Order: sequence, then structure tokens, then C-alpha cells
Amino acid sequence: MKLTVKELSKQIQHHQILQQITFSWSAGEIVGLVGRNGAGKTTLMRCLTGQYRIDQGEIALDQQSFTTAPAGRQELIMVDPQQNFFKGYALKTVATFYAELYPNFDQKRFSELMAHQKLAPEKRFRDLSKGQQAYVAIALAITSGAKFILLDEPFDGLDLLVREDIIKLIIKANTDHQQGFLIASHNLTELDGLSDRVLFLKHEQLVADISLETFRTQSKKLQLVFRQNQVPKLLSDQGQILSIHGRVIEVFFKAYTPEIDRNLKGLAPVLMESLPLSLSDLFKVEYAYGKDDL
Amino acid sequence: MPTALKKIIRLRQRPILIVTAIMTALLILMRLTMMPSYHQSIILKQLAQPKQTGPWYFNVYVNFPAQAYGFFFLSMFWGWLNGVRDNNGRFYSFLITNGYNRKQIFRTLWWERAWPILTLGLIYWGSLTLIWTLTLSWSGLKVSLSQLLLIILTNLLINQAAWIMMTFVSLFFSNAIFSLLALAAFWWTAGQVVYYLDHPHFDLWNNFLYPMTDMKFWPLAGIYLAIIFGGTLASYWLFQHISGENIGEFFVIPQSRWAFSILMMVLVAIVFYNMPGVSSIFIIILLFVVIIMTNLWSTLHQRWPIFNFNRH
Repeated sequence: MKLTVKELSKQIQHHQILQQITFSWSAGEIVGLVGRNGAGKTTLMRCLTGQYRIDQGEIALDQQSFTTAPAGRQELIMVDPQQNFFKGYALKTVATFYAELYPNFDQKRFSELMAHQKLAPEKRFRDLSKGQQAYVAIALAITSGAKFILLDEPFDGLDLLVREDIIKLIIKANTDHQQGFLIASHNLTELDGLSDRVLFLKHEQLVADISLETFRTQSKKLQLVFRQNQVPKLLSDQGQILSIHGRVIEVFFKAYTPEIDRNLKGLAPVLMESLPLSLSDLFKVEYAYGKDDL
Repeated sequence: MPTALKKIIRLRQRPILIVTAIMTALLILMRLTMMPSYHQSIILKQLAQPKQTGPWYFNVYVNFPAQAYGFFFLSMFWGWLNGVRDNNGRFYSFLITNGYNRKQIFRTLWWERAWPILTLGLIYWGSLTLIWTLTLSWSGLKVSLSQLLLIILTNLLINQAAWIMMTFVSLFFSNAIFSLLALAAFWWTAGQVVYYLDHPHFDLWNNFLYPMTDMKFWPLAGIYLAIIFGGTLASYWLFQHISGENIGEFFVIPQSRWAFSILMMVLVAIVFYNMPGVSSIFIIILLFVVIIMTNLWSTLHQRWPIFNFNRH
């Protein structure tokens, strides 16, 4: 099962929020959605689920456009903090709503998850703590049986233990039920460990769609020290300088080729050490340093 | 209509249905307890005394609206509260995101809103008719059976028109409080305009509820059917255009604020032109607040985060 988004555009109050967004997402794939505040992450998610009417473009599931085959939307579910219609209901009633609308809703699994968190079915959603509410909302989405789950800032304001519980829930749903996740988050450390791919939103557009496996094999972060005090031109030409402390230079290379390696070694550095790559490095390069062509 | 959709909408509106049913029962009880039986029956005694005669004429003014006020407001309450609750709670979004097309959802919503009012209306009017006929012998009634049935049918139509119009209001204005303020402002101003344009006296409020005395059934039914049909079409159009980013705005479709503002400005201009200076001050202030707020809201919304309920 594959979701395809083609040239999606959306304006809100005459401001272009999304422009010509194109990507695809397979069931079972965990995709991170990264961008600065106001980049359009939430808008993109709401456009995908149909909460927002799109101005242009097409969203299709297995090449069946949602315009002509809206039933496909049942395979998409978004955990949206603003969707608050069920806040006054008891958990068992909320589950009834989901069971009615999602034919594959797994009531037994939902009850087990609630029992595991010691949450009584009679308890009202609004009476739960913030962490519990987040857990229940994600549990509802997972047990709905939808193949594509959209999470908007799922770790926002949650303590470590709740975050770990949610991550376990996501991983189990992904491995056992082949459910795919699109996770918009500022918590790059969590995304780093979870995602297969990351989409970068910038200036209303999707500027990069990077597989983390490819990123880790093709890119490199190096710590370099040279005899001379001057920074070699090669570093700024081929890479992105992350920091300079005295003579210690941290450089990021998106495509680290044997030729770059040869040229660097040719400069006879005193120290040339690989540093572990993280999503944060990519984020910094993409956003903080303003290099658009990554 | 998909069963799942029907069930979920019923589950959602159940608390409001219970409240509405209790209120209906109270209205019936009030009719039973607040008036001596003679007064109960006086209504029907006076009922059919039209200046014109014939089986299709009846005097609506004398009888029904006085009896209908309670249930008329209840029907409005039903349409408005369900509408604003579902719109603001993002229940509509929840349904839209679940693979049903908007036409299917609207059709189901319409029917699930219509039948409770129809059922409660039949209970209400059935009970009142029973009370009347029990307190009078049939021969004492100055009304034929067909007239009585037509009167009940007219009131059932009025009640349907009431909830549909309030559904339209709840889909036109996205802010619950503002929807009531705007409706009150519009209704009052429109009433004043009609009053001044149609001297010596034409009270829009009373003429809406007490359409006209000695009214023939079909034109009267036609008016209400037109309101029901028009209100349904207009609400359907608005429902088709709901988009989540507008929650928090005053209008479900922000562009409609211009239509509303222009309409209000035209009404204000007419009232201002006709009204004595002293009493016009209040209406001018009220309407300018409405107009300025509706048009500046977007600017406030974007400029200061406190007004910004949306996240992009």
C-alpha cells in the first residue's frame, strides 16, 4: 500500500503555506517530518487527512485519488491535539466512536493497552494527565487499524517514561502490523532512532527527502585539525563547516566521495576523525546554516 | 445512509436529544398545569374564525404561535447547539477524515437532526391536541379535523425550518457566541428595516411566527417548505466548503464576512436614514462593532499570537 502526494499546494488567509509538495510514503515506513516552527508540518498533515481542503494537487492511495475514491482516507488517521470532540467522553465511549468508524478497530488490543497503563474504561478523556491523553490518542490511532498514522509533535511536553511508552507502541505497531508513521517533531533525537526517512520542509516546499540509511552511508561528519591556521578552501567548497574551535574544525559532507577523502588526506591534517552523524547535524545544516542545496 | 455514520452521529447527539426530550415533556406539562382547562380549550374555540371561509383557510394568528413558542425555540436550540458543538469540537472534521464523502455525511446529519424534531413535534402537538379535545367536546370545537391536521402539519414545518435555519447559522458563523450576537443583530436590524419601510406596522418577528391571519394552507406551507429547502441547500454548500483552518475565525468561510458586512451596512444605512436620532445610537454602535470586528479579526488573528488559534 502506497500513499502518493503530487504537487500539493495550500494557502491560508492569502499566505502560501505549502507549495508543490510531492512525495510518496509506503505502509510500514516511518517517516520524520522536520521543519522550523510555521514551516507547514501540521498543515501538510491536515491536508493529507482531508481536514483542510487543498488548493492544488492530488493525494492518492495505490493510485486511487481521494477525490474520486474518498474511502481510501480510512487508511489514514491523524493524532491531532485540536480534535477535541471526544474530550468529555469516557474512554469506553471514545473507543465506541472509533469502533463504529474503523472496521478494523481492535477493541481487545485497545482494552489491553488501557489496562497496561492502569486506565479505567469509565475514566473521562479530559480527566487524564497530558501524558495519558497523548498515550490514549496514539493507542486509538494504532488500534484503528489504519495503515498510515500521522503524529503531530507526539513527544511535545511529555516526560521521559511516557515518551518511551509511546516509542514502544510505535515500534510494535510498525513491526507487528506494518503500520506506517509520519511523525512531525522537534525532538530530533527521538526521530533519529525511529525514522527510516526524513522529509524537510522549508520555505513552503519540500526541500529534501532523505533516507537515513543513505544519509549515514553517504554523508560524513569529520573533526579536522590542520597545521596551518587557515581553513582550507576545500572544506567550504565541498562541505559545510559546523564549528571552529581554535584549530579544531567540524565539517559536514553530505556526499562524502573517495575523491573528497583523497583531497582531504592530501592536505595532511594533523587530526582527521569521523564523528557520529545525527539528524540534528542534518537539521542544523539545512536550517541554521541556510544551505539550500543539500 | 451508512449505518456506522448514523450510529456515531446518534451517539454524539444523544445528550442534546435527552435534554430536548425533557424540555418537550416540560413544555407539555406546563400547558397542562399552567392553564385551567377552559383556557386550554379557548384556543381551539377561537381558532377557526377566519374572515374568509373554506376548508383550507385557518386563523394562524389567534392560535398556534402562542402555543408554538416553546417548541419553536427548542427546535432552534437543537439546530444551533448540535451545529456549534460539532463544528467547534471538530466532529465534522473527524467524520470528513474517515473516508465518507461530504454529501453522504451531510445527508446523514440532516436526517439524524430532522427525525428527533419531527418525533418530538408529533408528541408535542399530539399531546396538546389531545388536551384540547379532551377539555372540549368535538362539537364544541370550531375547527374541522382537516384544519386541525393542517395546522399541526404547518407547525411541524415551522419546527423543521427552525432547526435548519439554526444549522445554517452554526455553519455560517464558526464562533458560537458571535453566531448568536450576529443573529440577534441581524434579526433586530432587519425587523427595524421592515418596520420603517412598511409603515404603519409590520413586525418581522411576529410575522415570521404568526405568518398571516386567515392564511390559506398551501401558500403558508410553501413559505416554510421554501425555507427548509433553501436552508438545506445553503447549509449543504457551507458544509461542502468547511476547512479546518477556519476554526477560530468568526466565519466558517472567511470570505463570507464581506457578504455579511455589506448586508448589515445596507440594513444599518436604511435604519439610520429612517430612525429618530436617540434610538439609532445603540444600533449604530452595535452594528459598527459587529462590522469592524468581523473585518478586522483576520488582521488581529495574524498580528498577535493571542488571537491565533491555528497552528500551521
